[in-house]
Amino acid sequence: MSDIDIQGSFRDPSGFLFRQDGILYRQVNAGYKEHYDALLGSGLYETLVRDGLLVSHGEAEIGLSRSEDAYKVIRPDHIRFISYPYEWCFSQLKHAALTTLEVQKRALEFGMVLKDASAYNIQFESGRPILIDTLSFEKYREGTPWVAYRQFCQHFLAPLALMARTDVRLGRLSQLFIDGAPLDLASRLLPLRTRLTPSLFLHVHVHARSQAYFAEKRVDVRKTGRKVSRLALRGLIDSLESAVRALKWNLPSTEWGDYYRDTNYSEAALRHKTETVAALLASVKPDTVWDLGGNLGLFSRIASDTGAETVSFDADPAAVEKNYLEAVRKKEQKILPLLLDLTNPSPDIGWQNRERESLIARGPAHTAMALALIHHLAISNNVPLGKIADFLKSVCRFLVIEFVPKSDSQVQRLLSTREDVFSDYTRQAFEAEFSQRFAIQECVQLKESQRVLYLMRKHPVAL
Amino acid sequence: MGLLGTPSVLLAYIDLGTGSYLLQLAVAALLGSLFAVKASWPKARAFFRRLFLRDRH
Repeated sequence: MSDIDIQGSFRDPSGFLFRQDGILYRQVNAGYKEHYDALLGSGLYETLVRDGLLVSHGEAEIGLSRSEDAYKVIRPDHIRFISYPYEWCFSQLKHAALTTLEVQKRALEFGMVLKDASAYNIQFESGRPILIDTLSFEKYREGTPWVAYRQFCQHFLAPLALMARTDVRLGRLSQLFIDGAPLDLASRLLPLRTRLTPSLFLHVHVHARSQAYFAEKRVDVRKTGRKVSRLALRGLIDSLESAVRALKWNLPSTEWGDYYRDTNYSEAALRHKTETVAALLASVKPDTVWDLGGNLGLFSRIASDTGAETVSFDADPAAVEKNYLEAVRKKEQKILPLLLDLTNPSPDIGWQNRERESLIARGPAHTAMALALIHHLAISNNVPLGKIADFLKSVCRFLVIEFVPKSDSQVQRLLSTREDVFSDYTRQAFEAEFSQRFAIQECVQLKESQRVLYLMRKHPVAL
Repeated sequence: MGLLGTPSVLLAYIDLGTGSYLLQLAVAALLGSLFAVKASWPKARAFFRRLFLRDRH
């Protein structure tokens, strides 16, 4: 028997997550009984689960509890891949924000409220954002303010405003600041003209000034005697929702935006590559696929069409945005586009470096694909072939990889502005390095192209 | 019982933040009023439209 506490769930005294025998459970503590019973008894849980807004759960044996103050042990439905806000594109964060506010509105209708609004409580499951923290609710008491107002602004509104109005790459701020973007920083980074947008002026700029003004002052807020009516609370939520809906990111045409049209493949070569990738995947029948450098998701969709849970990673925010919007438009359930810089993948962060897991800790995938990728890592980023093989070995059991030789026009383009210091970048050296970590099972020369596709299987770990 | 004396707020496990809390108190009533106007606007518009059309006829 193995049991592991899940480190991302320790802040809320209402309960915590743990894993036992590979199954994820959530302990509900006795102190939360009143609110848990209200969630289930009011019909809110049923409504939210029915509409795909809250993760479903079943009650498990109380004997599984980890402490004496347990009221219930529940078993939430499995989330297939845990992703984090700093890995989401603009529209993913926006949809996660709107989901949070929709849940809050529904909760109010049933006499409850969200007691937190952490972006980490939202995950993308079957293509849709869903709240995964069953213990995020508490009974609404007339007159009380929304306790999660500050958190919502820091986790959602400020990052979205920064991404839309300053630079989309500022979405990565949430990796630096575990409790969301500091509002004073957001206020300073946003253009002056955002002060003319009433919702941003109020919820970001004035909010930041208010935090700074009262930071050093001794104010006993219990003596204010003022209340926030239900209508006022509804108005606050409506204002935040309008602010989020109004934020739009206009996609730029980036280096990779027209990738598939700007490629050096002939029509026959692209068709052969597509067929070969499909055949190689069919031969290993993956249940999970990570497409590394997935761009707009052309090849990721070959994987997801086989039924594999596919994560399509790319470093370009515009590519991930397009890929995600395509998945939303087609209501695709098996593909999850995510932002990832392979030269600096998501690390373990948070308390004890254990709250949010690194990319590698969330693997391995059954199969990884590295198509038209290796020259970017080896030539543009100076990563030796052996180190590329080491990384790929750590994230998968099977590997579909494309070798792009130095004579390829795309590699020549990369070399056109720099000295060629890559004497080891050859097909022979590639096969030699990868053969030390993988068994090469298939090797297919693409028609009308100098590129080669490989299917490899990781060598078993020696005991 | 004072506003923050209610169990809901006392049990909050995240920090409301004094500045965030007071800002919410200051603006919530205004936002609530705007929301009430916004929510009733379609009904008001329909009322005036009916009134206008009736006058014309």
